[in-house]
Amino acid sequence: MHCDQTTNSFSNSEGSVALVGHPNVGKSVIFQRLTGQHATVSNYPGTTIEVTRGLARTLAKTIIVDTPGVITFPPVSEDECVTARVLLQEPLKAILQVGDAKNLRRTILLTSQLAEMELPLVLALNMTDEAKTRGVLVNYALLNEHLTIPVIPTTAIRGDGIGQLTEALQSASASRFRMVYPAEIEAALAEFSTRVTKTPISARSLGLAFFSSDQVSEYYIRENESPEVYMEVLSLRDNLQLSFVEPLRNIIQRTRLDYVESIVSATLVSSGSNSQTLGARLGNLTTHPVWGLPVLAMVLYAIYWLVGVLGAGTLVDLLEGHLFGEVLNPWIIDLVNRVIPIPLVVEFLVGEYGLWTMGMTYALALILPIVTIFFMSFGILEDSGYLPRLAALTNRIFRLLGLNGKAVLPMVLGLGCVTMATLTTRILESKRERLLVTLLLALAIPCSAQLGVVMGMLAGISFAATFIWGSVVMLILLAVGWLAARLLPGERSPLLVELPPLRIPTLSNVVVKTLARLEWYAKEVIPLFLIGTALMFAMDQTGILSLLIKAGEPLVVGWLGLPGEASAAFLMGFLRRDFGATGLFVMQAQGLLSAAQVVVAMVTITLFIPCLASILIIAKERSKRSAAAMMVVIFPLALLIGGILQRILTWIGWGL
Amino acid sequence: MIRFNQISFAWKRHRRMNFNHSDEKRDCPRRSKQLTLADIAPGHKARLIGFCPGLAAERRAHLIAYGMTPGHTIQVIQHTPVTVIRVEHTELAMEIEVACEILVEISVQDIMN
Repeated sequence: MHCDQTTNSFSNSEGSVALVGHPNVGKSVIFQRLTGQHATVSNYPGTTIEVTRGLARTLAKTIIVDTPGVITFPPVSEDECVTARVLLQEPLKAILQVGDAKNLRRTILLTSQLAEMELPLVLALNMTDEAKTRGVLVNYALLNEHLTIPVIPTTAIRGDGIGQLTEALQSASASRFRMVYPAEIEAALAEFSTRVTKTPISARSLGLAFFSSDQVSEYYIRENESPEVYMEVLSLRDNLQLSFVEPLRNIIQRTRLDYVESIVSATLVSSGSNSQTLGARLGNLTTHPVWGLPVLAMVLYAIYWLVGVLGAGTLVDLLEGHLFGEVLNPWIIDLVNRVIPIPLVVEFLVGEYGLWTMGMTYALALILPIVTIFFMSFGILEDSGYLPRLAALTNRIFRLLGLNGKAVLPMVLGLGCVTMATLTTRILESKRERLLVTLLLALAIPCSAQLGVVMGMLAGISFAATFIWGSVVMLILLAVGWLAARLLPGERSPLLVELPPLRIPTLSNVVVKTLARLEWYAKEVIPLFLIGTALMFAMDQTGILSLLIKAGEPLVVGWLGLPGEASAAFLMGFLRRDFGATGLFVMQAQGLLSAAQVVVAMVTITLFIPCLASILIIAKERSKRSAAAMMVVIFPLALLIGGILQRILTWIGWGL
Repeated sequence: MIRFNQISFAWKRHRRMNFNHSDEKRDCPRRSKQLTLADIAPGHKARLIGFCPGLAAERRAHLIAYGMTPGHTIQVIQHTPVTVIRVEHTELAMEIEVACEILVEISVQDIMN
């Protein structure tokens, strides 16, 4: 970018540098250091779905590619496959492996696989500060000699070692480190490289991946080679397998392990002790059978306070009540009325279902402050390393629902925005789990906007009202989850998750992540808001809206025992359940609803589909069919539960 | 040796408590005599010797990639609500179903430590 005259071949050649490494080793921090703050760093560690690219600040014509963390090759989960694809499809001029200095064995195991690709390789051993406090001592010079690549100790969070890293990248060359596999495999590899010639990484490493039943390389060969060659290498693999009792994958892995073991035992001067640091002790406390729960309660309360009280209360009041309600909206309505003479257009822009007065006001004044605070607190929580521990703590509950503790992540996110949380289900391992969690999110997890309205209404009656609402929704969540897990074919996958050490989050990383998520919100959610509002406007203008409201009356009055006016609120609830809740809020303020009616209405509307946006995202993420199926199940179920609750409350004589 | 038996007895009891309700895994060696990670009492260490054939290939590869390689010492931190272990400087949480697919042995050295 800055330097035009460079003689180094690396700087002059076009291409990218891929950041590859285990999850949670600091790839994103190094990415930020190399590219500068303006780069889009998105998604969660280990949950990245798409790669992030950025221009390097100090390397000319170089794009840095941040990849999702990969535990090992061949990849298993969706996000790991993304990384494998980057290695095969991106025009790479170098790989920068980021490793954890305190876990040398794991790191070198991945290095050995990357070195085989014969691309220029640099290893950044990150988090040397943590390694030092734990007494881990690595002989970097010797490691360098063994691997024949530059090994740079870094503490990326403080910027230590980034300079050396850039220098090393400029003169990086492929590693000369080679592992010798059993003779049969070596012969097959030689055969493989005469057949498959078009390889971005070395034919040897592609062959090894292919022999290890790697789906990504198998797909690559099928796409880039003739069908004859594909069939040949397939039979080559089958024949090779005949020479071994164990799967090829295990044989290859064992060979690598032996090499890694010899390198590690030579270069790891001291493996340190697991002496109880404050972080480690705090970490153990969070998963402790007894103390884990009070810690969880404290974390939940902190989030509730930040999102519910500060975000949904103070900030929304300031923005919606004052800025939009008193200043911005009157001014814009006035402006539109003066500039545009056509009443229908005026109504479309600033009317009851106007693009600005409903769509944008909702998106910017009501939801934006809440999600901003939520994204920030979630960013802090995610950088602290608490979330994987939450997965361990809640695993038992999710077992009942045919899931494992990992499902807690999207569920927690759902309290902020169900639409966003539906995307987060990508971190779950199987299709079945993703579908189950999506269903529960759509049915029983109220998003922050709605939670604010519901809490406000119920707290106005009594604590008992809040308690009834909470228990009924929780009960439905558990019952439906339990039932769905038994109806949906497939097996539950047991939990296996790494618990990273607790760390203090860095401000810059939280800010960059929050901004990236807000950008997503602006790009994907706001258009959906506008489409929804336009739809309401069209139904209102054509008279369909009032017809639909009339049609819904028997259900609302007869079954739910609510006043007729509530039909309109429920119809709004189809679009966004907090829309509907707001309508009911107005009715309560007018004294039209009894305590029992408020509780029945709130339970019913909470169990509705969250919003139009979430339906569209479910259709996009899962399938149109499952989105339709969920709607067919959820709406009648919500009304059924509401009606039953109404009868129970009447029978026991509560809140009439 | 006496100490070994004592500890081992304590774990067996613990294990039974844990397993009463679950019968999901078929290839788990809990009926056989082989010692697994699920048998190691919290706070104790054991040496990894291998994995059960019933363990899915991906899961096995993941465990190895996390640093659980044969010959290495694993420390068990807790078994409830899930099994938490430490290997090198990595902490892993896993369900008991995974833990009982991991074969271990106890050496005198580990008990002394």
